[in-house]
Amino acid sequence: MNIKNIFNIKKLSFLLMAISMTFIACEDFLDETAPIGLTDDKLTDLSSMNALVNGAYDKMRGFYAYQPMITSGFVRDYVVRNSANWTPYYKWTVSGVPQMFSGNSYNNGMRALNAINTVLTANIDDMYGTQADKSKVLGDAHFLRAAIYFQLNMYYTLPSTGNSIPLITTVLGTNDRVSVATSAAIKAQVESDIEKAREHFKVANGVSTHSAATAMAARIYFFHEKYNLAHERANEVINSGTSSLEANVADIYTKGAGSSEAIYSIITNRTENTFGPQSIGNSNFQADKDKGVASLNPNSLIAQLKNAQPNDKRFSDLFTSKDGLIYVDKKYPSLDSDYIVLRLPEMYLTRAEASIMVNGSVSAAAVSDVNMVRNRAGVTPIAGTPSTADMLEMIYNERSIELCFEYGDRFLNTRRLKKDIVAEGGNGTIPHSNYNELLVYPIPQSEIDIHNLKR
Amino acid sequence: MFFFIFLFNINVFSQEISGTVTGEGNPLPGASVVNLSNGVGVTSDFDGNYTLTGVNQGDEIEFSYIGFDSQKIIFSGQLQLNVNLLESTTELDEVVVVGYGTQIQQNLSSSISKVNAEDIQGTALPSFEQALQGRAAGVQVTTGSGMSGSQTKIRIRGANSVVASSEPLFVVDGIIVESGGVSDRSNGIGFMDDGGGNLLASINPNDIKSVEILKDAAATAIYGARGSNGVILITTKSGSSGETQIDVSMDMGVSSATRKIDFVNGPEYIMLAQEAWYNSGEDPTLFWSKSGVLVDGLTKAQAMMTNTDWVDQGLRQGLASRLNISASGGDNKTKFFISGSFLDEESIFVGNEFMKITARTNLDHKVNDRLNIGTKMFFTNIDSNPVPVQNGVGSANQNLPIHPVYKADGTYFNPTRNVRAKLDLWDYESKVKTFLANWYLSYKLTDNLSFRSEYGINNINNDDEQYIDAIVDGNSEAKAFASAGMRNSWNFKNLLNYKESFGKHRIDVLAGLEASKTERKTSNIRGIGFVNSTLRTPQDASLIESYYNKDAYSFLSILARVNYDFDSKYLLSITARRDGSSRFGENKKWGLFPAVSVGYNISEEEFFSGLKNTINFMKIRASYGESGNAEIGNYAYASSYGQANYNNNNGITLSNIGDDELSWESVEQTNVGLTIQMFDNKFSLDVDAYQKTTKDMLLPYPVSLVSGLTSVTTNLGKIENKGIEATLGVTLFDTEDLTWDVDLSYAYNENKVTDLGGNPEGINIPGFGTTSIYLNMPVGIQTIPIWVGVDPASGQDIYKGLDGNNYTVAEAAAQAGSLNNFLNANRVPFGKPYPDFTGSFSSSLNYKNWYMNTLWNFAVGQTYIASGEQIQGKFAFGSMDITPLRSQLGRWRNPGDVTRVAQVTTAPTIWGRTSEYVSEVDYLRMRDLTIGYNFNLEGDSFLQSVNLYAKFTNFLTFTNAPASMYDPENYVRPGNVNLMDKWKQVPQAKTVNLGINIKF
Repeated sequence: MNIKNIFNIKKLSFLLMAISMTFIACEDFLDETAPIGLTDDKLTDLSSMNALVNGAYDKMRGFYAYQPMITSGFVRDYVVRNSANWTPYYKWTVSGVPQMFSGNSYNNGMRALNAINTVLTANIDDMYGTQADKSKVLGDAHFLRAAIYFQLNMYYTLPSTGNSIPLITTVLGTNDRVSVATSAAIKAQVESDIEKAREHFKVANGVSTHSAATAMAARIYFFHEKYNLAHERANEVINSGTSSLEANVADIYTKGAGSSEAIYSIITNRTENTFGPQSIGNSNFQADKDKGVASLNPNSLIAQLKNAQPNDKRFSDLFTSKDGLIYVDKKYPSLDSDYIVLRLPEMYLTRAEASIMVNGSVSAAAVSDVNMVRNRAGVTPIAGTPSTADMLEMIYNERSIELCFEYGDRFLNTRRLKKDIVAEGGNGTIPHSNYNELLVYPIPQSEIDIHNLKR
Repeated sequence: MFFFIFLFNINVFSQEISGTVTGEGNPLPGASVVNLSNGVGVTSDFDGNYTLTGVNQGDEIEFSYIGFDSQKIIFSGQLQLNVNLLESTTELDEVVVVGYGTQIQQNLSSSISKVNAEDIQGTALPSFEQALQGRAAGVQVTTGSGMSGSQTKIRIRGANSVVASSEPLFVVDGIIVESGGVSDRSNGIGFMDDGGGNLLASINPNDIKSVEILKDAAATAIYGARGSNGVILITTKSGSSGETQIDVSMDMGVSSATRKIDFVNGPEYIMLAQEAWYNSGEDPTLFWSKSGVLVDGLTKAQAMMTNTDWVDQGLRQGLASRLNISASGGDNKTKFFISGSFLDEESIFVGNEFMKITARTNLDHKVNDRLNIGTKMFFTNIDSNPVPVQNGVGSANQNLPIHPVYKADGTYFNPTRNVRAKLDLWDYESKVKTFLANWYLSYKLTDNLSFRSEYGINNINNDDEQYIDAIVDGNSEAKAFASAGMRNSWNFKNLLNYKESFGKHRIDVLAGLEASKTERKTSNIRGIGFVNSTLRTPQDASLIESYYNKDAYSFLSILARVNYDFDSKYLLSITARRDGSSRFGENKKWGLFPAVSVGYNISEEEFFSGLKNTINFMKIRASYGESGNAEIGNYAYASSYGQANYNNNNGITLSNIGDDELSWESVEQTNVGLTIQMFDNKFSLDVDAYQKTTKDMLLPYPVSLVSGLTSVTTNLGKIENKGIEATLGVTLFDTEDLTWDVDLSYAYNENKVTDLGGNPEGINIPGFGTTSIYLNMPVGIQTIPIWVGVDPASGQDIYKGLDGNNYTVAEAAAQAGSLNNFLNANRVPFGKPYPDFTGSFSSSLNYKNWYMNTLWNFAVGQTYIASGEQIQGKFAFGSMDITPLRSQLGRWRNPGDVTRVAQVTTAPTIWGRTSEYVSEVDYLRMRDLTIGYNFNLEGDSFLQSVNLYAKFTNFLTFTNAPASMYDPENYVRPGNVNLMDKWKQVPQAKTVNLGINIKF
């Protein structure tokens, strides 16, 4: 190789070193931003507020996912076949409520609340958009906060102290520490939020609607034992005419959010999220002895009511007798059907009972409300005007049949009325005084550790 | 015995000779040529040429060069004497590969272990790095499982981190390579839990020339922000000039599980289940009809007659065959090494198959005296069928021994749980193609200054397809999954190297720049529900979900090193690397990682000469430095919201809370060492003591859900590792017929958390299990309630409360409201996630044509929870669908019974771990035994050598591990948290291989 070539190689060496140096000079080389996902500085317009609300609704799928299974286990409406996972939830008298699935509502609820609080603390007034667009976002945010805190408060309140979980209405940083709120404080926040949701939805419906918020308000006041307000809201929903009973009970669940009696539903879309109450309900309740997990407990109140009126369509059309078992499968007809959180019959039953609680006597209207539900189920209507005690018992049974294996009304209503729960083996009952303190969801241990929470 | 002498002209009257000194075929500038008879010496020039005058017939001339075996030649009148020196095989002169260069063992002042090719070649283990276990003190290697291509866990001098990867950096021929899993296989349609494969399994062990393990900061600081977990340097073979050598080796092996978990059999199950049923007050006559043990149409009579071992449904005898062919050779200008290998394996897991093809071309060419160019190119294709662990053999205890595998009509019994059905009807095909290559040019700018430019790439493509038949799915839906992943890395480095010696001073300066970038992309598509069972691709499904991910990271580095020695006596090395990375927070983009080491070859001193006959060599070393760990995720520093759509509307949800200050973990390490060789080098001892402190640990700091997440990534706290490593080598025999070397290595490491910032009470890391970090305890412990024993009076478990009192189950429930509440409220930090000490014993015996090599490993002091088998087994009868361990037979039955197993009842599962499940796991294992024979060949044979051998891997194991474990060598999980607890165990394999190696 001649001198000239050597010189060129030398030059090349320096050139390569120089190229390397340009990397050093070029700091951009180290600027790698995530190509996927939105950074937090972009959350400045109504579109991103909407996206946060949608994200919160997605979290509601997980929030509700295990509720029907856990709460139906609490009142022992089902028995579990061969599932080490679910056995503890209907044998809770032995060991208490495990963290395993109950923590899910806390986790998803708090994550949804983070998005909701981000929206509610943002300066939406100054964002570009119409008042209707703003009301949609704000309506949904208040609605979800009320729905989440209502439910969490119902399951996490320790009766002996009246303390519940922390009440968070702002966006907290990682170093912020909180303590538990009283159940009463949370109830007040829930009531305030649901009323704000109603106001905003009056301007424009969002993902959920004004009647959903009103119906949720009725449920909230009912379990907060503010019966006059519960009556008022249920009355408003029924009279608004936005919903009507399905003729055929099985249609409710196959139609899902599209059912005429569905007021507030969580949409199932498995391309978005495979997890939710449908997947849990369908997997566990399916009419397959070996694939499903739970079937009707022959000693349960529901089984007793079924034996008393076997032709009730809510049994004959929704339950399946097979393999010597009774499957409660048709409320979760497929992995793709929507989950109805609130539907019209609850409003009739709430209005009926609330009117009795407010007035202290049974009105014809109350009987007629209950008969609306009974007629649709093909059951003999209540004749005349029963005594208050009889009527309340009838409403309790009606609510139990109508809403069993759904979002948890069976347990909340049983506890509200301090009624007994059938014992694990079917022999005898467990009084309210024994289960009231035991059937409380455990706060996730990590939350207890971080905030040093004491209920 | 290896040298060749090329004799040319003979002239008896000549008083001057000249020639060329080469080393392994390359000219050796600066080689020493000394006439030992008169002491006259010269050094060779830049091209290795020398001329020596005044030589008389019969004079002895010595040719030497550092790192090569010296040669002595009696002058017999040659005019020209060309000498080719061979690389030294004695330890002191051995060349050791260090980061971005090489050094001679004697001049090394840092802590580096070298593992030779022979210890890795022909390994029957799933991946080459698993053969490193026991070969270097302080390097703890755990093999994932007996599955083909399974993952490996390596800890060099303990665990430095909590969640940042503590795996060492792997560097193949100078390129930092991607290691870890091939693909996330749990993301598809079910829970695979096979570890996702192992990228390093693509490397052909027979291509490896040597493996160097960099341990102390002085050695690793040259890798800066990525060096703190230690660095494993792999150097592949290259050709040498001379005749082309062909090497063919073949072997066949059979394998089986080292142990099996001991579950109750059919009759024992019925006995225990009925007892539990009765103990819980149920009507014994209703057991068969009400308990639920009869599923899928099974009758009592059939159940009574059935006795299935479900572990046997997931495991089998494995078979493997390997073929490796290489050719190497070259001339003065060009050298090559070309190899190809083929591996076909059916592992001990039913359904697991693995086929690997590798091809390598290593080329070096000398363009002229100053310019060298070359390349190393390596391609691998792996086609494998991984099998699910959790749903395969891991679910053996979720089937009952009274359940048959098949029904009378030949269909699967209870297929959604059936181990066999899941393995048969769950197809997984994984294809990985790896291309790893580099190209270099090196140019001597002056005699002392050289420049090297190198460009490397590492491309990995994986293609995974899965299909699960509807009959094994819990919702009767067939599912298909396809995933395509791509990782492209490039690396460009330019190095300047200056070497100079003046007098007894020798200096070697390295300076360089390196830029690298890695991009990754993953596309997944999942299909659920098919109209016809012939449809098996996601595209044909009724429901299609897709997922796409893309990320990248880059590093930019400036590195420098100065090695200095005075007369090979006083050694000094200073290293620094400045690393910038895209992974670090806005305010912490750049970090500096310096290190210094000193060495003193005391035996080279004059005053030592009296001792030198006994102590042939003695060196003391010390080093201090800092290196980093950048395995903190690619975008952990930035806050972000991820997609969470609802009802076809775009939704977002908080996915990360960022931190502008987020940075690498840095590890400060101090090392002192001593090397001694005694009694004609027949006895050698290497001792190192070190102390490492990890600062700014990367933690998934648990934050409250009120912030929207359960954890954020942050730098906080310190971990300390300190320990001692010792390697003792003894040559027991060294005669012509018999040589016998034994080595013993021992390592002790103590790991503890020394600082937790503002959290002196400890930190509980969210996630599965109860992983906790406590001051003055090792990372990886758990917080669990203490189980005291079984109350002889009631047969109930007794637990210890934090108040110091003992509580039976009934008392605990009464005190805390429920047993779950009690156990949650009375947890204490517990356990020993790491062995107290580890070590190995190896022996290499040669007698005439026979040889026998063996390696034994041991680890003592670790504790472990086989949670799946233990917890489910303890509460097996609450749901009547779990097979308990045979140890449950020792249950309490009558008042007064003193047992370790409580009364069996139908009480429901309590998922929390307690100390009842903790067991000690010590073991001594014969990792390798190779017995071989080298055939004597006729002188005119076209074969150079023929060798036959039998290799036994993991063949003998002595352990106190409980019967709830498959194997004491237990890969729990990749990271350092929750180390004591694995839900379902995975078996390891023992193998016997027969092989032949032929050289042409």
